[in-house]
Amino acid sequence: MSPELVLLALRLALALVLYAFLATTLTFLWRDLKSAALATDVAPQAYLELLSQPALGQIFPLGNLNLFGRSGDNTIVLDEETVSSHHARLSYRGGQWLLEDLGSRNGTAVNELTLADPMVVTFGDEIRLGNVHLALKAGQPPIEASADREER
Amino acid sequence: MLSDITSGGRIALGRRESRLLWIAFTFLTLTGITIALAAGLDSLRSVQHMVALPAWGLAAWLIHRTANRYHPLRDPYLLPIALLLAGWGLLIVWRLSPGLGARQTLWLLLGAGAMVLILRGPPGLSWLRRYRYLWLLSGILLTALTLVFGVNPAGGELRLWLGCCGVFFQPSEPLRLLLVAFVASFLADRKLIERPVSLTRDFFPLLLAAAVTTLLLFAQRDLGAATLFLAVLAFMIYVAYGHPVVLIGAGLIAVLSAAAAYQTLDIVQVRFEAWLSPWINASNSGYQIVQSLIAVASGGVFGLGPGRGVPAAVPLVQSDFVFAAVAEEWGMLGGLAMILLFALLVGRSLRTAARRKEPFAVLLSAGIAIAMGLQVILIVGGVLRLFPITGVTLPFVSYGGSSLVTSFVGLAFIVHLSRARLPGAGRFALPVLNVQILLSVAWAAIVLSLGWWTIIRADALTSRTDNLRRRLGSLVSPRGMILDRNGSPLVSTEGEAGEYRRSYRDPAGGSLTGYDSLAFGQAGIERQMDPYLRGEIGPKALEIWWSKLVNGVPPAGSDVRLTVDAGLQGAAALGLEGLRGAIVVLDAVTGDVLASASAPSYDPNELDERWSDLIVRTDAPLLNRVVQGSYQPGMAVAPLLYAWSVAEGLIEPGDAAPDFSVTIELFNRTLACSAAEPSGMWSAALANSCAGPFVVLGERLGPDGISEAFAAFGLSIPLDIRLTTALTQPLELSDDPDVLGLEAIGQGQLTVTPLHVARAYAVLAGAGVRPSLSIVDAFRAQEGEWQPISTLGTEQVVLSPTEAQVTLDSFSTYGGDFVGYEVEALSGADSVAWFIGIGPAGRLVVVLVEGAEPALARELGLGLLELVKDLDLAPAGD
Repeated sequence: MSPELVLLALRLALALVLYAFLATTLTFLWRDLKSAALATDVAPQAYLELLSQPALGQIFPLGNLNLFGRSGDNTIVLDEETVSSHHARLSYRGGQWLLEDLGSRNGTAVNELTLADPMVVTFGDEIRLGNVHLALKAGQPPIEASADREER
Repeated sequence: MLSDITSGGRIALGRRESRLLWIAFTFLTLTGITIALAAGLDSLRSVQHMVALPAWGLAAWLIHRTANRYHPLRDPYLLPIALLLAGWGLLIVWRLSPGLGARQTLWLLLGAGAMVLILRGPPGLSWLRRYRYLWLLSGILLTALTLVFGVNPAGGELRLWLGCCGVFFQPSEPLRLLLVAFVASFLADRKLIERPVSLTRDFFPLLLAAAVTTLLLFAQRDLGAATLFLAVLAFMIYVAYGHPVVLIGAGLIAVLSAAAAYQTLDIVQVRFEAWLSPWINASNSGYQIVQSLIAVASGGVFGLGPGRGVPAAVPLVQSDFVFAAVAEEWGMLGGLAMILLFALLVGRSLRTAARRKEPFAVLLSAGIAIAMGLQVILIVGGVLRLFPITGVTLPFVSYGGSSLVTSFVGLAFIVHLSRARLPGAGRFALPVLNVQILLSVAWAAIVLSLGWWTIIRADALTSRTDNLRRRLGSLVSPRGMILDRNGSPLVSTEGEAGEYRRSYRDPAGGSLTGYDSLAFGQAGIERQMDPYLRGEIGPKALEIWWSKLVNGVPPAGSDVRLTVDAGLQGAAALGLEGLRGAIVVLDAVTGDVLASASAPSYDPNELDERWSDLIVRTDAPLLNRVVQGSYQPGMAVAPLLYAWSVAEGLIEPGDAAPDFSVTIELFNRTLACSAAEPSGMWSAALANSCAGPFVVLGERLGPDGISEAFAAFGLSIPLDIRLTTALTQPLELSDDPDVLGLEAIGQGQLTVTPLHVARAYAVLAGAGVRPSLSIVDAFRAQEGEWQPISTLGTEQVVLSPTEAQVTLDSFSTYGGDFVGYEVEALSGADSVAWFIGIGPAGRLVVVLVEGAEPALARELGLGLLELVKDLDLAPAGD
């Protein structure tokens, strides 16, 4: 093979690799986009049950995005002194429940494993926010419990 | 991937980054090998650029590792894209100049070090934010120092560098980044305290800092940096406050200040002129941009291949014009990929700005991204002549330590602030999105103009004579021969591949064949038939395309056959020796030019030694008088007007002509009949070149009649021949009788070349038909058959054969075989002698001698008629 043809093959190869780089990047971006689109799925019915004080056994139905904390602008207000004002976030993304700590003082844990980064939680997992313990449960929240909540 | 969101997400992100980095490394390795092979592998010079690869690998590994450790949730695309660009740039700089490449390698490692330091720094970049005035002041001070201690390592006019001991540093590069940080920090503080906007409180310090910086940059005449900074400032204020009026206002100010700068600063004026009309300034102010566009066009779609182009033909190719080198060697595909990489990098950086919520993070990342995007758009747009040249570098790619390190530091800030997945939009998402849209329009415009130069305008640009590549190509790909009508060579290519040179057989043939010179370009047949001789045009288009793709040059060129007879040509040139003049021998029936001699001429073999003399000589040897000399025809137009008037029924040869004895005074000369003529008929007036009757004839014909007659004989229309001809001015005659009279004796507006005269008299010699001229007859690809080359014009019937013959009847006869007509035409104090001789079978000779008696011209003409009479004019080449 003449040197010219070797060079031609090399030029062809490097153009292919260059575009492979672009294609790989774009594929990754496409996957990101898809998982972001999945993340906007409507969450299936699920609820949290309070396993500790302030109101043992209380039920909290979950939406797509749930914010926990002591202050009134959270979707789920936990009035307990070890809970920070904006403590944690539980969101449904890509078919999974994702728990994130929002920089709370006393930390967030799943099954007693302290969170450093966002973590996926599944049904039956125990979530601890400060000293408040909650369990993630699947299905329709028990009716009397949600009625009980409306009374509050 | 769903699993990416788990705690394993950071690993997946890191994996994505490392996978992209490996692809980038593969690309750089292949590029390195290609450059090495292209250089020929026979010297150290061809492999030393490979040092760039381990250096790049080290830098990439360090940055990747640090980022994994300290920023596991970063955007995983920023680093690989930027590092790919930096590595690509490094190889280009090495390839352009190993000395610069070695320096740039060190700067790359330094930039990587700076990046590692920043990535390890505390989150939130508070150190940058808190001490904003300190940072800005130090940047301004450093730049101000260049006013006093500035140097230019390249020795140019702008002294923008601080340097010592061989290391140079351009403070205006980091200044730009510091300004962005300052503005981000300043605006972020104002945004945190939500209150109504107050001009003095919110903008005064900002505008002051902006004004000081801009004035400083203007004082340094670093206009590119100043423009860029002001644009970035406007965009950042827009992102902070979201009012489109900011951008519109900034656009207006930009237009006004550009107009003011155009009026006051010569550098702006020069650049603007070079941008608007580069082609007419192609050898001076437009040189850089024209060479840049030629380089871009030479690359075409696939590029000449790394290491195989001639990017050094573009001044400053390693810094401002590096994109021209990319487009030349990697082609439109490579250029497009680079633009896409920059668009992705800027887009991902802007995404960080759109997703973050803290004002400082948003404004800093947006500012850096916008600065980078605008810089790329300005300089790539400049290289592609979308904008005037602004003189900024291409981030990560251009040679220049300050630029490279600053780019890495800016990238470090963005990586610091980026998150792979931040859900939802930040509070500044809308203006950032609008900026993204604006930039996308610019990216699209750049891609379109890249396509324009590399595809649509490629042929026109690469065939320019100031394209160095084309001339260098003729050293490695042999140029075709130029042959006479019998196949004997006039010009051939001698020597070995790599040092081919042209050899010209006829030492006086320069005026016809022209030259093909590395230093001086092309002329004559060499110029007109260049695409054939070089092999660009041929019957096997696919072969030509393949050869250009693989070798970067067309295959061996085609031979070109002229209609000229070498023997006759030599005799004509010999006859003119020592004179100034021209001789054309024409076959009036076919339109073939059999000889075309101009004197004085030159020997193309000695062009290099004689050039400086040739271009200043007052007798203009480089001028091919046959087609480029413009002369007064004098009474040479009389037979034509006579034939026309007879054909129109205006006069009869036997009628009495008026004003026989009237003489015309012109330039202190008296024009009268050449002999006393008792008969007084029109035929006698013609035979004796009597001016008086023709003045009257001109008045009778009127402006329309004269114009019509001249056009019919082709005197006032361009020559249809493959040679560079004199411009033919359109005639505009008034109906002033004096004007018409002078026009009718060839002493008016009309000037003609000898070939014009030959073509006009061919109507008389060729039984009333004006032939279409031909000097190039056929071409032959290597190992191919002769293929005809069509004439440019078509035959025109002007007179009937009898009308043509009636005119010839009044000509002088010589030895029974030939008829002829001789006149003297005045051109100011100078005179030229014309002789037109016609032999059997429509063979025609036109002789023009400057400043001589018509008898001399006649003698030359009759000698040639004698030669051409016996010439065998079988269809050429058979």
